[in-house]
Amino acid sequence: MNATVLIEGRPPIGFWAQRLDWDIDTVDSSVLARTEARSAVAAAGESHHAAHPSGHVFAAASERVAMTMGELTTNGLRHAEPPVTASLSRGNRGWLLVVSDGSVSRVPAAPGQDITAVGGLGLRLVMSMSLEVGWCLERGRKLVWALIGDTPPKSMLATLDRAAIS
Amino acid sequence: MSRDHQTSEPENDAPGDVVVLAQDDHTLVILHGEIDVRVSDELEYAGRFSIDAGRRTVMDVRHVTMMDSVGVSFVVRLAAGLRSTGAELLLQGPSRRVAELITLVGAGDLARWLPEEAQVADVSAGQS
Repeated sequence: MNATVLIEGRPPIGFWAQRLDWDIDTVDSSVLARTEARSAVAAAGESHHAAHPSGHVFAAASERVAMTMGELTTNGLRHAEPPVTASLSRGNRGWLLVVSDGSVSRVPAAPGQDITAVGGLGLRLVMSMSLEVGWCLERGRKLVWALIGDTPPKSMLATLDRAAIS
Repeated sequence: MSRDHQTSEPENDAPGDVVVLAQDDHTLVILHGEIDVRVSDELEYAGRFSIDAGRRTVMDVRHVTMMDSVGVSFVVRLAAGLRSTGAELLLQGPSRRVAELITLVGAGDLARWLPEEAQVADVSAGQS
């Protein structure tokens, strides 16, 4: 189902602006990052892009950024060593989210096939909504990143269109 | 708090509510607001209650404003758990957000959506 795969590698390079940063040390700080990221994208990004004609909720970049920010920061809190930090940057391909933590021995793994298993759904959602998703180790820290396009991934739209959600 | 950015408008990001009720012939779970990791304990209780009851469960998601993977996992695992006991999960919508999320994780076939105009009482009468 997911056209996007989890890759091992550094975040995409490019000219990134409007960088916002958060310290993630509690669930509340994760929720705040999620909320502020959604607001930032809605204000800066979607003012230049009309609502997608599909009408899907997650066609909006702000919704995909908020979901991804929430999932990646929650994963950092639950499964990694502090300090956990998050950032959101603007580029010409969309929005780059990077969540950094101190756990270099525990790296992300692609979700398995069993959707009823504990864990894995968050990364599955992130991969369905992102153009690229990856992780790398850098200077004693782990970086997990996702590139969210201004326009939604075609594979995501196709999945939602097939389901005929109204 | 973000280090270099603050929203100019207050955001309503309070945790949501999870209510589970034993009805005459089914279990009713009502989700309201932001259904995320902050209500995971409440979701676990609701899931355990519903599975133990072993009856058809109706989940009202009409007023869900946000759902993360914890909420999606709750829907998926409850649907699968009920199915394993011969019971069924019915989703009371509409909620385009919830429908899209369970579709994106590949769980669209695990639960059935009630017609939007159908009330829980109507469904009970129709299937009794």
